[in-house]
Amino acid sequence: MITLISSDKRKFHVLEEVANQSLTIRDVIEDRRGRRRADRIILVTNINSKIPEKVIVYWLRHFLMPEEIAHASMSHKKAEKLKKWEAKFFDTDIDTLNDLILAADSLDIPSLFDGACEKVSDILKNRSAEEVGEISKIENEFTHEEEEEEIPSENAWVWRNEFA
Amino acid sequence: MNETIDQISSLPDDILIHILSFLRTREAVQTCILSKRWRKTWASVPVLNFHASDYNENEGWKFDQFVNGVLENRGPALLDTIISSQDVEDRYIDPPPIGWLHRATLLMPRVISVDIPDCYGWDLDFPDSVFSCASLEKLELFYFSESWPAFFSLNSIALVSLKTLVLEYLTLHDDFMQKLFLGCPVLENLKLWICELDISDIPSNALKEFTLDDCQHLQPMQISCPGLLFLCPSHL
Repeated sequence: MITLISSDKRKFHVLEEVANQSLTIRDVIEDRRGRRRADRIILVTNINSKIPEKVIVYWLRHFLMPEEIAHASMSHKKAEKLKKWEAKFFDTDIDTLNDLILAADSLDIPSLFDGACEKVSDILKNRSAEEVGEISKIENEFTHEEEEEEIPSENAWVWRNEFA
Repeated sequence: MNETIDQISSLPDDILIHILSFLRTREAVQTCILSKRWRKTWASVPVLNFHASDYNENEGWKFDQFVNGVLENRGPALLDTIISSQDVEDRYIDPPPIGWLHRATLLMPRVISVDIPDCYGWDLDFPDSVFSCASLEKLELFYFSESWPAFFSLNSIALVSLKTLVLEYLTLHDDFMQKLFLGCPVLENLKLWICELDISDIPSNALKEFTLDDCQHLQPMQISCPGLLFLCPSHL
């Protein structure tokens, strides 16, 4: 058993085999092997308290169905079930998705990282040029001049060919 | 919506690039006008993902112009994956010339997955450079035609890193197979879908998975692959 401590000092106890899905944690445990029990405590200070819970839920679901097995011989039905579960898991607000991405990045959990990134990419998907343009107009980061001059010249080929 | 974009924008560059790699290239390029932050982000995305179905009938030239615009403007970023999908069933689109694939292949991708436009019985027009791309690990060629499968032959094959090859609706001969296994020393996974096979022997020490789906055999075929772990034949 190892213990994760979040930035707000909450403790999360996890089986080593489960936490091993984080390549970062696996390396840390490997480095400290054979040392005292206190070394089985890992601070995840860059991650706020809501996130470890989600990450551990994700780990547990995937621990029951390791990906190597999933790839080779998982039945179609089981694969569908996992897909449905993941869709539900990632169906959350953008703040949580951002935090999950940052957590998965620093803990090195590739499947969680990809899953959350793909979900965020959905937000940018299937938008018409008008919609995207609308968003950029609301945002005031561009000055009026830039909007008129710079963007069209720099990315002129896009506008001319695609959206004109 | 605007707040959401702001929140996405707060992520580090490499993560934004990873997020954009899940989109079609057309959608990724559109993000250039979201804000200053996004102006050049798309240019670093290591995936090219083109879909002919994004265009209307007789807009093949537009598709071509877009592809060339992307290649000219994307900057020196590494390229990992090239996807080109026809993906049009109910309408006809001028097949985009496949010449751009030659240019993209010179950027040394790891994965190429393309739909090949119908060549109406003529020889397939396919860039040779794809078959000498040393970085390529996975190659998928999907051919679709109203008529016969396309005859597929090559002068030479040298894909030293290729592990997975998927071919659809092509006619393959012994000559092709011999060149294939000589030119792809680490090919582990071969999938042939609705192909016409005039092949007497599949000789490979490296092959581990071999899938034949709905293939037609013009002669008995021997499989000489001592390392084979998985075999899925078309007709049992």
